Amino acid sequence: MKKRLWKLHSGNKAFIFSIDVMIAVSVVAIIMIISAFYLVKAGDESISKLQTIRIGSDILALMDNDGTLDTLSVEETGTELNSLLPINYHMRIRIRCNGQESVTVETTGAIPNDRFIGSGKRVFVSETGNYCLADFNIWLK
Amino acid sequence: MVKMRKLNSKCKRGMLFTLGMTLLSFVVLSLAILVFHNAQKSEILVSKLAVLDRVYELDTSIQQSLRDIFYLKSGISVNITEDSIIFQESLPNPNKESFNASMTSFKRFIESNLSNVNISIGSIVSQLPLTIQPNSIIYKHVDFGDKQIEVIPEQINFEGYSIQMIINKNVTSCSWDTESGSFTLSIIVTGPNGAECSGSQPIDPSEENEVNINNEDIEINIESNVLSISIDDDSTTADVQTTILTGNSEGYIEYDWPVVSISFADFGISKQSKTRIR
Repeated sequence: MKKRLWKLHSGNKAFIFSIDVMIAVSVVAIIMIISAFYLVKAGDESISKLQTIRIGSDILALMDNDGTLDTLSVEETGTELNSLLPINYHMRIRIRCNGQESVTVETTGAIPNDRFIGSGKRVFVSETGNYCLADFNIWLK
Repeated sequence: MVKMRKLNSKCKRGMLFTLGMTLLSFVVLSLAILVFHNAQKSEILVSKLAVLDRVYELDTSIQQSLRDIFYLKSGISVNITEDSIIFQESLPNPNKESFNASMTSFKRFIESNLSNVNISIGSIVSQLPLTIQPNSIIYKHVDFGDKQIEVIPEQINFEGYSIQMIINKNVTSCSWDTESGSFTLSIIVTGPNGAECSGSQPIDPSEENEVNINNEDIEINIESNVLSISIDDDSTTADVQTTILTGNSEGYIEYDWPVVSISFADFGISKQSKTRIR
């Protein structure tokens, strides 16, 4: 006669089987959760971040080359920015010139802190000979 | 006995199943870690690309600004034709002060606002040397704002010089003292009354060649391949057009100095560049 591990009314087989299943499922679940965590972390779209920065740089370069930045006008820069910027982005441009107050043009008021913000800088000389530094922030709506 | 065998066979199957699941889980975990590491690597690469983009944007825009300052403030015009490169300016150049002030304050403005950028203006403010590439010919001033221009070729790999000057005094004398060769030297110096000192001669630029106008008030000298145009009289001024006959339109002109240095040490990225004027 086999000696029972615990003196249970129903015997020990089902109990051990249950524990075995629980341990096995837990191990597999832990491994799966860790795997999912790594995969989610890896899924961050770095290339799209680069693309966001490039959109900002291109817009600033275009505005420099077509002379919009030279005007240092909030209205003109804002109009040009709205016509160039893809609809799913927000952008903010700040222009600082030597010996002048800085000019800020933005498509929305606040910069969010829950998503990626691309940024860049560009130097230009205005028609009047002032040296200016334009920096931008761009983010997805 | 039969029951025992069935139980053993079930146990074995169960163990194999557990072993299989465990192996599969580890394979999935390994793949996930691999993907994660690859993503991290590509994130580093993307960060580097973003920094490279920023370096490129800063470099090109600073070069463009230096070029704008040159055209707005230096009083020198530069033109490239099908077969020559032409420099035009007044001697003495009255723009020295404003050009130097602009370059200095631009450097200060950039360096105070962009900690990663350094602009070396060194001899640009004192001599304003410009290099013609690919011929490696330097067009410079002995002292920018003074009355002397020098053209220093590394070697004679072009066809000649053509110099046109409009001076504020009448041309009263003109003497040529040249050594014959195959290098073209053309000179036209015109005074207010229309009188000219003009001529074109094939010379040997390695020997001493000299053209004196108005009793050495104006000297055009070519010796050891170096062209020097100087005005020795205080009251004489001139608009000088110096044409370098390159024989092709492939040339470009840049500051003879690595003017822009950008460094992002954290990413191991740095760039030094000369500014192309035209």
